[in-house]
Amino acid sequence: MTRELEYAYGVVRDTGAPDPLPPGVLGVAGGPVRAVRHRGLAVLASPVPAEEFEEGPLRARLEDLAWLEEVARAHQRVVNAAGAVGCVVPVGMATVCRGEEGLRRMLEEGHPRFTGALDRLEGRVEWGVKVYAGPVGAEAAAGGPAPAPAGAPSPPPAKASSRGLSGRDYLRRRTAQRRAQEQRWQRAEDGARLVHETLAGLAERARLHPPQDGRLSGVTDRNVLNAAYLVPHEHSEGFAARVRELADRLAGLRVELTGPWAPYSFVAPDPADRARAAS
Amino acid sequence: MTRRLELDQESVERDLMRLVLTVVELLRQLMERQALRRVEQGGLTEDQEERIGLTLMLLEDRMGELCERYGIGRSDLNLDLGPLGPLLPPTE
Amino acid sequence: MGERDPLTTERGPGGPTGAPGPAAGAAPYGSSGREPSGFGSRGLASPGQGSSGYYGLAGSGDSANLADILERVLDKGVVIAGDIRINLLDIELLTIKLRLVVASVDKAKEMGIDWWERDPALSSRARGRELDGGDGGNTGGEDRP
Repeated sequence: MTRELEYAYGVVRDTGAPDPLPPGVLGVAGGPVRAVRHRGLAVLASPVPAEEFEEGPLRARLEDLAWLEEVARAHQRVVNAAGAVGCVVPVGMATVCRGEEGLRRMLEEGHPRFTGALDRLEGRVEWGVKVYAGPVGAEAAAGGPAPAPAGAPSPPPAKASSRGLSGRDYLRRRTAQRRAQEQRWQRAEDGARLVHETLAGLAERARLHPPQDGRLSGVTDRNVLNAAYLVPHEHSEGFAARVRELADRLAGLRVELTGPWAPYSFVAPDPADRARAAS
Repeated sequence: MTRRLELDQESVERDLMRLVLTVVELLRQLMERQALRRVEQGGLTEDQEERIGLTLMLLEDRMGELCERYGIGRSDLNLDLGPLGPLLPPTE
Repeated sequence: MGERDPLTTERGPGGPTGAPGPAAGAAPYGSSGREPSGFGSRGLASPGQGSSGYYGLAGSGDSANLADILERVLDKGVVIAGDIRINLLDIELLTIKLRLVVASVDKAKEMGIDWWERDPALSSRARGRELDGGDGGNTGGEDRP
């Protein structure tokens, strides 16, 4: 049982071409990526060291964000390279098989699922769209009525301005601030809904991801929409232009477009389907 | 206590104050929310509103002063509870 | 795009240790002001020109936000991770360690991490202990034609 561990990136159609990847693409841990073929499919894979990818060590490594990032980026790099030349169905990160036999078995077991996904995703790309509620100051500048000296970030404004206020004035002011805040969230949510409804109407499929954690993305503004859209390649440019238009229309909100990605978010993530396909 | 721990007195005070102020700030915000709700419902007399307002205003002023005195920023008074989100709302 | 990877370069794994709450001033991202319209620069990479081939996929993963990548390659994304730490007198009075939620391999299935094949010892143990009620697709082997 000392067959090498093989890390799988994604599945493509075996077109009979010598290699579905541009030469020299390196995978996780610098391993050379090649295609292993079976029944009209090919899985892109590279050997990985057992010290890191055997079940036990992997468990520990997955908690190491630096390690995770390296593997995730390598994974993405390979999928991207494959996606640039044809349709690829990415498999989940850290899909590890034993030897080429293991890879072939994966293709065998997942055959209906992979071919189904390839049929569905052929000629499509994924766009990522995120909407952020801007910081308080930006909102005030965007024309919203600012009832209080909003935007002063750190020094507590009450200290300077509450002198001479009556208790009731203070309460009124706080109510107004609170309302303004609620309105801001409301507007952000309305904006996010508008963006999503508009784009979902243009896309073949849409999927909502949970809002991103600012500590991971490095963005402090609140993420109010994090969505992925599956778009036919020929409409891709138009879709991006539409996102740009929407972004210009939404004062106080920031719209971010990423992609085009390989259609990661649309590989039938439904575990029930997977179970059915496997059995 | 202070005698035994002279060396660290400043950091003791600061850490302790941060802990205390975090709890106080949470309570203050809860009280304020409740007060605003009551005022909106309109069940209070003008005099009651005035007194509550003044109290909350003073409390906020004092929070500001204490934070300044111990070199604690308002954002330090928040705790990140991870999956539960932050203890206090993000912008205030 | 030199501002990516704030996590690994500034905070390391495990999030903003010792600094509970949104790390003040740790927002290198939004502040660069390089795209007034708020678009990620890759968003403006003309996708339709097909410069990089068939699909015209944007550059390489190296320029993308880590969160965006993890979200996709892990399917369910990732939740981090901050330590809550309240120190008094250099004694950790209260430490709550929150870890990467990708962490648990028990949740591998949910996270989209698959082991398609294991050696028999591993998989029987896994079936008994971790993946009870799981579908056969992950443990592989027994459903194989």
